Amino acid sequence: MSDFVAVVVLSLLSSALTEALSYVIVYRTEAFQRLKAKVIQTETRLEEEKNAVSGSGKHRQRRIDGLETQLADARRSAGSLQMRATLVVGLVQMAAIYAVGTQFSGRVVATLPFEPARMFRSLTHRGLPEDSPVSACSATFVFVLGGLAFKAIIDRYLQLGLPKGSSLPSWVADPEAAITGKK
Amino acid sequence: MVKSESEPKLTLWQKAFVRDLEWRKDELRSVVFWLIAAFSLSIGSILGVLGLRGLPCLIVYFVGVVVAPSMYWSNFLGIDEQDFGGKMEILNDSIGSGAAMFMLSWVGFYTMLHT
Repeated sequence: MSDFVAVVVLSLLSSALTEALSYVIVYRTEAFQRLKAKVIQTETRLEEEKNAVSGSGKHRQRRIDGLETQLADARRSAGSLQMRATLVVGLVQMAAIYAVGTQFSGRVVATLPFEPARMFRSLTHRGLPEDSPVSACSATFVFVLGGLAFKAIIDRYLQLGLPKGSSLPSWVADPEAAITGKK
Repeated sequence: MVKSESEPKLTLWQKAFVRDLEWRKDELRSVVFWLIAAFSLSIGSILGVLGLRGLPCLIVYFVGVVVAPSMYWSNFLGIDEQDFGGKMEILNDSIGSGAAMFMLSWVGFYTMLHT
């Protein structure tokens, strides 16, 4: 159990470190702050425009299209700034996963309350002996789970990055509109 | 939804406990994220403490993590999910991290108490 707690703490520290690196490399820069403010402002105006009941259909639609284009451009620019942090963060995470896997190699840190599907066993059993039970869990799997959970929590709590926009393609979010061409 | 001029300015968490207010998409997604986080940790802890195992637990979780927030925003907040791009648009960035939190708490408590 102490190994499990140690791995969870390590994944928390790793997530905090990667968020701190992203802040230092990208989030605190003036260019990113300007783009973030523009994204927030444009999203607010876009939502107001979509909810407006007055105004003619054609003009309103033209304004909405203009705002959506501005929003997409701002997000794209901010995304290219974030690429710098993404590369560094990716390397740090890979190094952390390798270090944890090496440090806890051969040790079962947890017992899974289910039998993992064959395609996931390479992750749940990474570094464990071949004859270890199916429900044995390696440090790597716990570390990856912790990373996913803590990264999302830290990101949502601190809100240093861009606001979460629509992450689904339009044909998934609104298939009827995509087929009929109406908005 | 028409914005009422007389609505007092509430914090996000105050809004989460009041029915029939106007919501922005980012506000709703924030509240849903934390709701799913709390739900995932709770369900994972309960299943782990009780020592329950197997696929039925995963099914219960994945059904619950979609149904519970949907019932909250449609029945309590009075929101039409189509105004925000549909159910998956609201849940999209919360389910992955919620599933990770669920697995971590389920595995952790099960390991601590039943092995």
